[in-house]
Amino acid sequence: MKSRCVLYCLFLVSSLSSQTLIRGTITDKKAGQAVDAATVSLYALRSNRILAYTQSDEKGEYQIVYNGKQDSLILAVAGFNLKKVVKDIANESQTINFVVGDEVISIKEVIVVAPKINESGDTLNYNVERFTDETDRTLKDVLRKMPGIQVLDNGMILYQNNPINRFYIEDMDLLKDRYGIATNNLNPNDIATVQVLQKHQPVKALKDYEPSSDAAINLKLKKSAKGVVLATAQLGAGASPLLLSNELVGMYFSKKIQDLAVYKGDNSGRDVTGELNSLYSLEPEVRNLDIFHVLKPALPAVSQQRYLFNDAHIGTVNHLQALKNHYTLSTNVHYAYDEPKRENSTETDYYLPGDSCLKIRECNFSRLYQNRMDANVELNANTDDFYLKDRIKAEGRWDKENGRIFTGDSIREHLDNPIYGLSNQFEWVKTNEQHMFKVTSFAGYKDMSQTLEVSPVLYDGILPPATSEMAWMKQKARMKDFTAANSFTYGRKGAVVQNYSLDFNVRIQHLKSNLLLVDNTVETAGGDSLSNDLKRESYEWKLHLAHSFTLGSNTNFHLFCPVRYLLVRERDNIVGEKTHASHYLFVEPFLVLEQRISAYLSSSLNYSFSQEVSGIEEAYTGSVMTSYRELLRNDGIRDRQKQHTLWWILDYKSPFSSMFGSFTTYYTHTRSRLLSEYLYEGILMRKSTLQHPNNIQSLFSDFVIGKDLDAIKSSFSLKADYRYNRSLQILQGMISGYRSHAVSLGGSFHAKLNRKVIFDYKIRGTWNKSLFQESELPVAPVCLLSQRLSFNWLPVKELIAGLSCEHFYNDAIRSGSRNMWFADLNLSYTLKTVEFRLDYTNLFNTRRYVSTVFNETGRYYTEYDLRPGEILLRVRFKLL
Amino acid sequence: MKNIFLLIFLVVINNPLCSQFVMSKSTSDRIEGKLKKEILDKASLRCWYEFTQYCLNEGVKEQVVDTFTLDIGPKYSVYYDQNRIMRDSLDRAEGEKLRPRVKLIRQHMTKGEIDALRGQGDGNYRELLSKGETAVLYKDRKRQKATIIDGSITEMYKCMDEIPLQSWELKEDTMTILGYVSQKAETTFRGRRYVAWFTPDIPLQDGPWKLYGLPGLILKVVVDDGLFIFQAIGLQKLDSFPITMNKDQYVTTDRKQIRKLAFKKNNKRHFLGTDGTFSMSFEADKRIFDELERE
Repeated sequence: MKSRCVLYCLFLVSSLSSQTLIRGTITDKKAGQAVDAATVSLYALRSNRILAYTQSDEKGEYQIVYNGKQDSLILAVAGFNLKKVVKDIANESQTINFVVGDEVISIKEVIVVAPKINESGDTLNYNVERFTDETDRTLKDVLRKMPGIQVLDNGMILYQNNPINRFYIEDMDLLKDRYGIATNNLNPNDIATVQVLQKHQPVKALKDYEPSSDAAINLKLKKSAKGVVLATAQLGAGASPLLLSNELVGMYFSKKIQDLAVYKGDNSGRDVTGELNSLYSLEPEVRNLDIFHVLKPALPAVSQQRYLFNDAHIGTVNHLQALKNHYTLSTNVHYAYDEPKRENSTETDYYLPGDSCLKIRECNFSRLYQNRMDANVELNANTDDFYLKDRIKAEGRWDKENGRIFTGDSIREHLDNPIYGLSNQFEWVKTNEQHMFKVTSFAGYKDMSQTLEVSPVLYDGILPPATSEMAWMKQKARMKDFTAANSFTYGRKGAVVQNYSLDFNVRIQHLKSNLLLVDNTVETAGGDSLSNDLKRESYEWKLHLAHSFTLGSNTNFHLFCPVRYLLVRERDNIVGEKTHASHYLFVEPFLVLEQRISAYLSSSLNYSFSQEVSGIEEAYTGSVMTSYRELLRNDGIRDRQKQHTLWWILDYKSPFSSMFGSFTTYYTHTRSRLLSEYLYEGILMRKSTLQHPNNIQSLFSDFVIGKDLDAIKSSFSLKADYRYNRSLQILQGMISGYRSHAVSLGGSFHAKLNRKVIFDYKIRGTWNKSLFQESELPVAPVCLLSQRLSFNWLPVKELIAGLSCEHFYNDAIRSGSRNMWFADLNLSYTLKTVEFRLDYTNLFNTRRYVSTVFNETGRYYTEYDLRPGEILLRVRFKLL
Repeated sequence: MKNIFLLIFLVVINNPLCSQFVMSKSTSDRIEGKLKKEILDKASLRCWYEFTQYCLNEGVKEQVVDTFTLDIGPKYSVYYDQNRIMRDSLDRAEGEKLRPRVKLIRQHMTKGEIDALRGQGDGNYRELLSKGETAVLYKDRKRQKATIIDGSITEMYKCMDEIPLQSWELKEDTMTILGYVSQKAETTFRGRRYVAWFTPDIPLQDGPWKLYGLPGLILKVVVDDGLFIFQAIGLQKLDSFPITMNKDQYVTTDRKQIRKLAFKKNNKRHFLGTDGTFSMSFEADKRIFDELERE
């Protein structure tokens, strides 16, 4: 026992001896006073690692204990506004006193700024200022850079790869479906925040009854832009030939009144009419029936400005007034005039069985005179328990088109295409704690006439013989369409949200067409086989059951089951037969399974089954000349299609890390009873159908990812998609299996390298291959690549010099260069509120675009005229 | 100012509890920011921390991020939600650069009442998904004491908390945070394990929340393997910026009681107005948060 005690004591002594105790006092250099609360730290030699530390007390004394075995140590004294003092010491107990001086604390500052994106509830707030740089002129330029948001070429905005369902300015819907007017004309410097309202149900009262998976956008303006009139003007002139690009924009946004008026005139290839595109997909309307067309080749795959020979003027006036009791009244008037012309030459090969091809060579010149106007007035009230909307819309279109074709002969085409339409849309919703009542009604009428004149007379065998050289063919058609859709819905909240609705829809169409010979101003009809007089009435009664279940806390299940009874009555006045009535009963289930996997990840699995019968466009049996070399006729057999669609959407969003992604897969299986066949007689094409049940399968997968890299002031997006189609085709009497695959990959990168250089890069590559099984037509895969690189240099704040380069590659081109290059130069200088901008487009003066396109019916080789090198000077200034 | 009183009026008439509400001098001064202030210390450094935690929102696990500010003086430091930066008029010029001014109206409100407020407000309206910490924590490092000020429009509470220096165990690992080489240290405090990263290059023995006592400013803290994270996101030098405490009529309480107070549950905040004045109202929060202190 004793020996144990001795051993323990020895151990204690030895362990005590390995403990180093350093003590001392710290005094102030100036006053000699004790320094309180100074940090004393013991470092290992040649290391910034602290081994032990303490703090001095009120008397300035400290005491530090170290248990390690290092030979030498560093002792440091630091503190609040004290100059750091460092001493090398040996590892032994000792007393070390310090005298320290003052030093103002010096740190590397890291300034915190408001986050670029923040999420609150279902609202994402994008801080516009943080996404804007000196080169951005319109809101569209900035939206493009926001992760999660895409802007398509037609102006449509997508959030997480899905079109938005509303576009608000300060929570009010001024522009409706024409929101391109805002994105193209609002200055990003006037906007504070772009809000994405996720799962946005535009009718507030329906929020708990009809959930929405779509998002809306709301602009929050800066205070400086509210309650004041903002007006800007632009004057632009250039050469050659004489180019003009002028605009006048005025706007006013306040709590009660919103106004936005725009005039634009342009002939420099900048597509101003596109700003008036209607961008909502699900608006009820009477569809246009465009039967005839002037033959045009597919548009070139270069930016539109390179091939658009326009002469456009647009004007739009939009006004919104908040009335009493949450009502708003809005009016929108839009007018567009354009005279685009195109010049091109094409080679078309139609695949025929047995390795044969029909080749058509054409030189084509066309000029469209586009004259369109529409106006609407809407009264709207939208509160938590009440909704009312009534919109009256009137539209007129007076399009004319002239074309000249050289295929050996010289052929003239003239198309006259006026359309007049009037519609009324009414919606009323009332809810209380448990119940919902909804009434909707749409009624619209459209009168569409089309006249296509072709000279000389091409089809001698069909029309009576012409007596003069100056005779021409005249195809007339007129369609009157009345569409009405009415619905009454009752909804009930509870564990299961139930909606029951009863719909009654009517569509009455009357189509008349006639192919005439005009000979010495005398019109001669070409006989009954060249005329149509068809009346089609369809009546639809629909019982719609919708149930929404909440399974657990993260899963929702929606089941829709409409039962539809359709009665179609058709009467062909030419044949003189009795009215033919068909009855159909359709059950079209639609299922949605939504799951919130985590705060970032959500999934939606959907299935739908739908059935459709063919419309009036496949019911006429008299021949119709749809273009100078297409004579189309149906054989009167009605098709009926059944379609299964299965789609899965996976969304990822993390506003904290500014990363957004979405993955979508669609699979569609369509079964139809008829196969269409195109028969060629020379270059004249006829359509006929064959009863042969067939399936069309298609798969489409698409992946988008966008991220903002704040640390290097840049953002990128990547997009990939895959398409697969499988169907049966019938070519000159032979049925052939057809398959096609297409893969496309693309991405964009934007970076502000430093204060002076802004860099943008965009690339997209497509690979596609199609195959006819039986005929084994030799179709080689086609690769397309397009890329755009632009550099902007800002030597001083007021000056921007930009250079951009575009490259296109098409490996299907047999002769000539597969690569196309374009370059543009621009200079912009801002003097107070006046901006001068000089653009030199198409530096290389590339005049022609050459492309080859393959599809299931043939190969199309096109040479397209492009705009030459042009210089344009624009001056933009603030009027108010 | 008219608007502010209108807002209060709305709040008062809409809340049955407030039928007995009498606006005292200190309450009206509190709302208008006219309370006298006691200057505790002068801060020379401000550090911003992002505080990340998780909550259950109707069964779904969500990440919640708040931004806090720590103003450090030689003796005292003050730690508060950065949205409150503008509360003190002294601070206005400084904070204008960073955040809009915030005027607080704290009450439970229904959706309809909030909408009524929206009608009055100047347009902008948003909800914050942050937890919305209302408490201000003053730390007296020398006396090893914290004073927590919290409350609602009707009543302010003061809680004194003894926080002895945490006994930190230094580790060899280092990490660079905001450009500063930081050393690892570990401790346990009130039922949770804390892994902190401090930098000797900023020799201030302070840190976020109730943590302090390392030989350098604490820039990052990971609590219980990531259940809570404090991460420094910004540093700013201050020119003798006063650390002040309102001279108010406080109700004294202790730290366990203050957590239970009803207003803490009504912290889903609604903001109103963009520039200049913000109004703010509270709605019951359905989210369930874990507490940092388990003892």
